[in-house]
Amino acid sequence: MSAAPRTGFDLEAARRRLREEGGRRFWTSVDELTDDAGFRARLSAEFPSAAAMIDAPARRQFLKLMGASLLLTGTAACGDNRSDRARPYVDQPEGLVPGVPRRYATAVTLEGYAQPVLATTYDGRPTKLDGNPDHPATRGKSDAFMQAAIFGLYDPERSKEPTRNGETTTWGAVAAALVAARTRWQANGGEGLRFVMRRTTSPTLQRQFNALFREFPAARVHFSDAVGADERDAATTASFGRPLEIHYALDACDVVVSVDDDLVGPGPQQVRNALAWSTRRGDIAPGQGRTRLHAAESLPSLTGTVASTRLPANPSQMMPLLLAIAAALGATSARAPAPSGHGEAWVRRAVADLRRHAGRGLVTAGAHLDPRLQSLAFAINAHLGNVGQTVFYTEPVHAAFDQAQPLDALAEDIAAGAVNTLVVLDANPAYDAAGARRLRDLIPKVATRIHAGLYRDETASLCAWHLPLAHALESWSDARAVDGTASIVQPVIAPLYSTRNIHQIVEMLNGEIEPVADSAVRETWRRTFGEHFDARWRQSLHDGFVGGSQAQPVSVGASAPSPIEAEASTGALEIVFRPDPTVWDGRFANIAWLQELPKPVTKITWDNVVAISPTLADKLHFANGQIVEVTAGDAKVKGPVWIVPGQAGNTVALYLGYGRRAGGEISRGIGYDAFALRPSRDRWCTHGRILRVEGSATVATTQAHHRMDGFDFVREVTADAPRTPPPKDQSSFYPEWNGAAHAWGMTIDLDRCIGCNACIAACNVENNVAVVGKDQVARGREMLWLRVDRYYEGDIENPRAFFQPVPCMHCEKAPCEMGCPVHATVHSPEGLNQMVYNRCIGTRTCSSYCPYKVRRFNWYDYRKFGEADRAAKNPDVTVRSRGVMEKCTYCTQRIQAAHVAADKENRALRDGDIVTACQQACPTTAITFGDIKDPNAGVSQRRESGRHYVLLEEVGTRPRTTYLARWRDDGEAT
Amino acid sequence: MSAVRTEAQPILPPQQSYGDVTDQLASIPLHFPSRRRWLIALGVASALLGLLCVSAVVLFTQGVGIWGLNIPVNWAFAIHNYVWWLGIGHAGTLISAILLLLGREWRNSLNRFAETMTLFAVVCAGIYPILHLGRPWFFYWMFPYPATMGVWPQFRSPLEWDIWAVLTYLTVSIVFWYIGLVPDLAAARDRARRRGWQVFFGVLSLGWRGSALHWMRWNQAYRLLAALAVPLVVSVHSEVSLLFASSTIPGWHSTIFPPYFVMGAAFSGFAMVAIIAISLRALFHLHNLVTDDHLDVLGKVLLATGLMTAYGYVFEIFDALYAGNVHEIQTLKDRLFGLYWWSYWGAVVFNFVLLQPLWFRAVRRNAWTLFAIAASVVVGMWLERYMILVTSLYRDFLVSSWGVYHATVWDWAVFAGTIGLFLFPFLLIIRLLPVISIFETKEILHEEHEEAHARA
Amino acid sequence: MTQIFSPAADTWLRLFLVSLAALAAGSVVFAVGMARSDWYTDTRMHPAAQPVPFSHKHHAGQLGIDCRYCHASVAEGPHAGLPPTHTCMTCHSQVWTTAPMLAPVRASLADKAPLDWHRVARVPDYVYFRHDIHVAKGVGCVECHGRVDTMALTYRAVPLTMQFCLDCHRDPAPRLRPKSEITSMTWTPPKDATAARELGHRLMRAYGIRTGDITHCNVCHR
Repeated sequence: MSAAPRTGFDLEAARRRLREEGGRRFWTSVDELTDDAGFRARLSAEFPSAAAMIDAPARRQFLKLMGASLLLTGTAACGDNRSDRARPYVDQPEGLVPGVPRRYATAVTLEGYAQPVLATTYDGRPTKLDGNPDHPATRGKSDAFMQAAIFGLYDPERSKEPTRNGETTTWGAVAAALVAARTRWQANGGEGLRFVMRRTTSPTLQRQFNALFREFPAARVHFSDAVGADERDAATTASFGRPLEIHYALDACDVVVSVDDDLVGPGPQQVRNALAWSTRRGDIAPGQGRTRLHAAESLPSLTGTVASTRLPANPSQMMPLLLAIAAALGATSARAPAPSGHGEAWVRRAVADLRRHAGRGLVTAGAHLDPRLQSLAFAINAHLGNVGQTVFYTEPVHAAFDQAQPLDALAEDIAAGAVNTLVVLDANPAYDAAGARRLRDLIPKVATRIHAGLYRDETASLCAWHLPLAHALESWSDARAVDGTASIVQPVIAPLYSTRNIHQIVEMLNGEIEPVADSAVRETWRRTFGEHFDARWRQSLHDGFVGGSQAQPVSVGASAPSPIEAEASTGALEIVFRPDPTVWDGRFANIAWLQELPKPVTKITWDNVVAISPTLADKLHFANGQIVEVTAGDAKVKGPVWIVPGQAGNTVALYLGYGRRAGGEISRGIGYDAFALRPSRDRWCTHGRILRVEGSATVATTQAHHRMDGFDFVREVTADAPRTPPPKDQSSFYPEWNGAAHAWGMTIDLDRCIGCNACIAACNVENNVAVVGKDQVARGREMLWLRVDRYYEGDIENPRAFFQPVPCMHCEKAPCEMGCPVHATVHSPEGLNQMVYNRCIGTRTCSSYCPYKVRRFNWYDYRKFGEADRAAKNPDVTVRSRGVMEKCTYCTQRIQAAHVAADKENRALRDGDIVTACQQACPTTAITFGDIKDPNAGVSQRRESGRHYVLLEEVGTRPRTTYLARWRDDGEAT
Repeated sequence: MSAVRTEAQPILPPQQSYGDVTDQLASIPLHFPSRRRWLIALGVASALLGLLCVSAVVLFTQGVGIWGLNIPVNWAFAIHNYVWWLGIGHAGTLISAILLLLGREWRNSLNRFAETMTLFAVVCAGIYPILHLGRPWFFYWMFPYPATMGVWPQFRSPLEWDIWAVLTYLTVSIVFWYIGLVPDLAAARDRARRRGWQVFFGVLSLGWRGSALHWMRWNQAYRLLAALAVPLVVSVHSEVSLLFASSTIPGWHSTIFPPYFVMGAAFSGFAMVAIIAISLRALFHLHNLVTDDHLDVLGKVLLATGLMTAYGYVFEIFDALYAGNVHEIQTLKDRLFGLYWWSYWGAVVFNFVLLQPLWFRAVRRNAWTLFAIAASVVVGMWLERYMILVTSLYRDFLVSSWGVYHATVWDWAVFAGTIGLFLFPFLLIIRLLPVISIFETKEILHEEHEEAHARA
Repeated sequence: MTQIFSPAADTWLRLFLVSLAALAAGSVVFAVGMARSDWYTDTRMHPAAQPVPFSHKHHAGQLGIDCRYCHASVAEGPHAGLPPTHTCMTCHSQVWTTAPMLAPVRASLADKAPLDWHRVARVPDYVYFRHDIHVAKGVGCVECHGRVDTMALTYRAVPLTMQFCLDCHRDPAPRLRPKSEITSMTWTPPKDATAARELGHRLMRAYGIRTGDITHCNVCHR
């Protein structure tokens, strides 16, 4: 649903309603707590009916054109009607079996870190990425960015050939130009030669640049990262004298105190942390003790959602809070002012738990926080003896260069005319640098400007030369995962366009004319592997990582924290910046499919908003959708405001990654550019003003705004009452199903779920789920087969939040099945609620009858939308046409494949033969699928856990998908 | 309502001969009065019909997405107008068949156009289920035929029953209407002077000569069909109500639905009959045949069926509260005070409050007031169907999937179009065929004369 | 008054009404029959035009080349696989090296352009048919492809309608054969009916065929 403001937000009214409701009650957003009349007015003003038709087809038309630009052979599933022709290979590759998927281990990267993957390819066409189950850091789990990489590969708007001043040119010409340039650089040792790139973990890139700098000692490199880890490096340098990588062992923690550190939130660390956290969390059972998570944060995050106690605190309060903890534990001599109100209680609990669990506890401070603050956290851990137990330090995983300089220096030098050549490698400073506005003016002043990247982005448009980079899945490269384990990146498909990988381009800078795609990488590892090269190289490619290459812990002296004082809060509005949870710093902004992925907390799609706290909304009388202007210094941005329950009172959050000016039609012009406001020092927080301006925007969210009075969709158990009531026997007039050998079922453990979207992402890719666009989402027509519902409970200023993934329930007594007049949705002997697209005529009775509303309908021909990445479609799943119903199938194609495999061997199916896409991706193993008839199956054991319950049991549908209640732990000292 | 004949005064003014009646009625098609007004009406109707064609083309090329539908509200205008039209289509058979079998002769002046109205109302209803399909070109999969797929329709599904109910009802209505028409077609034939008219009516009247044998056969056939049609009136809308009642959705899952729907259907149907009777009477100056007594009776019937429908409202609330199911109560709240409160209270006001003046004889016998009230009922029933459909769907069990529905221009276009689809053929019929049963009217006249003599 | 109609008019009307009814009934019968006709299901019709007039009769029949020599992945994957040009050339680089009718094959090899065959036996996109499982469960090629060893030019031997598939999925026994006979064009079950049924059921047990489970929709449609 979408919202456009009519009335202001009224905190008192909201509070009053909460009081009136009484009892245990949930709510899902602030609109329902405010005046319903205003809400109604907004909704009725929602679809200017006349306009209804204008843009939906227009958008699809556009995307159709876009798709037409991609000429790849379609798959049978794409319904392209040439299936009466058959074109065999001329020379069939050895061992290739048409229609049988092959899997290759490789890696994609996020923030330079390797995300190890197994790429599934059909007849040479990568269609799906999954985590590499053997990898020590991620154990086969994934996150949304990794799942989406496949769409990055097939994005038809990627740069396709090298250009000079916009004119297409050849790689030959590029080489020639570089040779000429090199002679100039050689003349002066590379004086005025500057590189701009993002932080990288690639050993090959390190080696190549070392060579480059040996030849051109005067050259300099500037790292341009919108997110990066500058503050973390500064902190470790301050504490330990050199930058270090920090590794948390959450699976070893009894208590974790997070000071504005989104441990399980989106980012390169998410999978590892979530996995470890849930492993520890999984141990929870009566008598086995608990893990506690105390979180203080300014914005509601996934970490705060799963925390035992959560304290909303403005950024300026973080220092006093941590100081108070340090002081109470005797880890600092600094004077600590007593934190106020809730803060005091929170600190007391945190301190008590940390003391009790010294050596089994952990204090973390967000990597974006003031380095002094982070150092203090290090000191506390050292003081409690946590180092080596729950936290480890290693040498940096990132490549480091003596020639590295901050980006500001580049601006100064250009202004001073000291730069004659600028080489931007896979970075976009003209958009995502703190001083981007200034750089946009300065870059054109440089004589020779070369940009290498995936897209003709903001920076590319300022550079004379644009060299298209190959996508990670087309490239030979290498990278290191968060734990330091190196992966060799091998291509899973030949480059779709006339592109070269980054190593080839650096080789060209090193004087090569026609560098071979893999020569540089091989060279690097030849040196590492020595005489065992061939064997270890093959082994590493096969495994997807270089065995035993983890970063080894280093012992560091517990250094005294730099003396700090908590400065008093100025009381000015605190504006914080965060990477967007689905498009990150903008590098994924052109992937329509990530744009449509609901943001985990707000459920917003296709947009970034100005997130404000209910308190602030109340004070300023803002309502969702109201356009506001946020001003800091002389810079200002305009965007729709969004009230986020649980956000710290004085905090305004701006999300990066939107307001793109170039780099693709999908991303251009949606949202606002938060970088415009971002200061270059202290990048993550600034002070400013917010004021109402005319107008309002439609913000498309996937969750309607309504109360949940007294229902118990999400249940909880506590240490005192650790069991849910056993399911009641629901009588039915319909006969029991005559059982087949198996009965498929799924359990979802709400105690482990962190709402990270990995399951949705995996489901979308596996099942060819269509992207429909903002306008359709706003109409309530998103196609997600698996949705993650989000509920709130309690005070609007600090509510408890709950995530609940809802796929099809596969009811044994399914209302949908008796409704369909043509047998298009029927029950299988194994208990699947089957949806037969080619039989469906679209009466939509099934959806009307469905108590869970998990069914999705193709209101238009959404296939046109997916035209662009048709090559990414899973050939084992029908691409649904207009007018048919669809829904979660328990990945029936995987079930059938497993059956065929077992039947060919003439054996019975084993537990684990079938893994659904969501289950496979889930970093916290919250989802279990299997045969509920088999008492030893994982799913059966979860159902016996005592926390098992059925959603909407009273309706008598007997779902096969069931839930495990969440553990409630208020963090009271025990 | 008490039989008109038991009252002292006859329902038709006595001083008119059979010949007059026949001339008056049969001459309407032959020497059509007030052509201009008729042409204007036909113009409007065909414009609306055109609109229907346009929206249908857009619908079939674009998909049902052009409507305001979404998940959860994936049924709205299409289904609720379907139910509404079908309801209107009930009065014809009800008046003709039941009242015929009950021997309520006053119906004889009304049944002809009531039946005609039924036909086209049912046609309007009939096209909706096809229009609202996601893939309308496969609608025939709903019929049981020996397909090479080896798959049959699912007979557990209320939609499947729907098809049969509606088709049967349509067929029986057509035959019933036509057979009733035959003697009048003959009369028109005999009065026709021009060759064209003679052949036209001649073929349609199937060589009716009015012999005693013809009349005997005709009576058998007519009453037989009436006996067939009566159960249909009840069954069809009961079945339609099962479309909702057989789901588990709060607000639908209730045993009151079948009678509730049937009553509502008769209610809206009679309202439409009243509207048409009054208009035709004014258009063709038939005050001597459609008398104030007729209006009086119609008023009483409206009041009666209206009160029964109102009972349905009361019971719905009682049902929810008595069951005490949290979801049912939630839905009840949403109906009364939710986003679509206007549809509920609109139904109550138009169907119940505005109905009350009918307790007064003067109001019933006044063409204008009755017309106004009948119109309000038609609107009220439309609101009621909307309320039943949308308020149950937009908020069902899981709050996270609650949504809103708003009709788009295309929703309205199709609805307006069906009104054209209803008016256009109806206007043609009243232009070409006798709108009031000639012989049946004469029948009453005859009987009343008899009585007059008896009293004398 | 004058007669409007001739005495015959009555008969004409009746005739007209009867023929109307007949037409309605007839068209239904026609449609139902048509859907099953060889013409509509493209069965046993004249062979489709192929780039090369390939003769299964010659290769499979007379030369007795095993099906799997060319359709190599029939047991491993969903698709039986059409032979890559190289497979053709293994022989035809030796025999018929200059035959004009093989020019397209040589051309294909020369300029690395695939041969563009016309598929004879095909099911709709939404049918997920797998060769490997059928071969594994003892369904002979001939069951769906007919006696290709007698086809000079290949044509569709059976109507690949859903009904055709279901008949076998509902009652596989009569269509099963020993693994050794999968590609045999001539193998027939025992003449004696009881013996044949006995064999069928023995094979079903041996192959562990999950009767009942293999008729639900998701087996073929996803």
